[in-house]
Amino acid sequence: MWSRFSNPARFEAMARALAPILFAVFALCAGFGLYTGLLASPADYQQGDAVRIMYVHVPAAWLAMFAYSFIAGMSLVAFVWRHSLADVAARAAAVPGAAFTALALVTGAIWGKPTWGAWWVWDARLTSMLILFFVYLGYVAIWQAASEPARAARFARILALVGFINIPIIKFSVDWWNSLHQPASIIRADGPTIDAAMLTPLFAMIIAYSALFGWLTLTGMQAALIRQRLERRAMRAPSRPVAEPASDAGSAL
Amino acid sequence: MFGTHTPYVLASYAISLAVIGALIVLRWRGLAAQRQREAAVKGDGAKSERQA
Repeated sequence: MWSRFSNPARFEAMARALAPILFAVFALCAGFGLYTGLLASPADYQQGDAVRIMYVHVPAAWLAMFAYSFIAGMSLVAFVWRHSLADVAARAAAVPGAAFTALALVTGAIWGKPTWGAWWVWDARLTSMLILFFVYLGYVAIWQAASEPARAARFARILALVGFINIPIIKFSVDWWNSLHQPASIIRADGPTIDAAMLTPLFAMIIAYSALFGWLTLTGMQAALIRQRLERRAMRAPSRPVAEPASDAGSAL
Repeated sequence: MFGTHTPYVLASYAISLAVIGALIVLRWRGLAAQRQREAAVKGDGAKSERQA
């Protein structure tokens, strides 16, 4: 399985086929989730319409943790098996992961104001999510700052693996400490405590965000592989300059 | 629309959609720029071979 996609050409062929499917899943589920979340689902008996923020907040928070787990997993694969695409995948997932973490923090603050009466509290869940955001920034900064890719990769893998300790802390913070944040209400041994009318748009948005993350990661990996190929080509023929793109938008992504 | 919660609900959706839209556009443009760059390099290579 691992070795099958260690060939970049084979991976790129797979990515070209999979990317449009992921984008279509994102568009369909997001359309359905936004419609049902904003218009068709009922208001909460305690929170009123503020509960609709859940449909953009929870998927962002889930993706923030999933993306980091993915980065840590890929870093482990790069360390242990020296898989040629593992670092590329981890790096491509970092900016979307940081963006989803920022979204979870911002939408959480907006939800907190009408629900708790405060934009921010130094609660265990909120603080550990803020730490996750800083870890993401550090990870992205390492890749941007180091001049040697091999050195950057080594430091980035170490940070990703050390920072992974924060993921179970985020998950169980609501059980381990007193918290304003509600405890787990979806993944529970005795089943979700949320009504099916609210679970349907929530699951649709979780699938949409997950498909989007897949698309963003695949697209970032494709761009990185082309860039690597061009750099290798330029090194083989140093007298011929590599044409710079008219716009370098998204190169940091 | 959502009573006293309207600004909170609309702001959270607007920010989410803006960030997601920006991510999609930047990734799309980033990949298109790299493909364009690769096509230009391949075109240059083929031209040089023909001239040789």
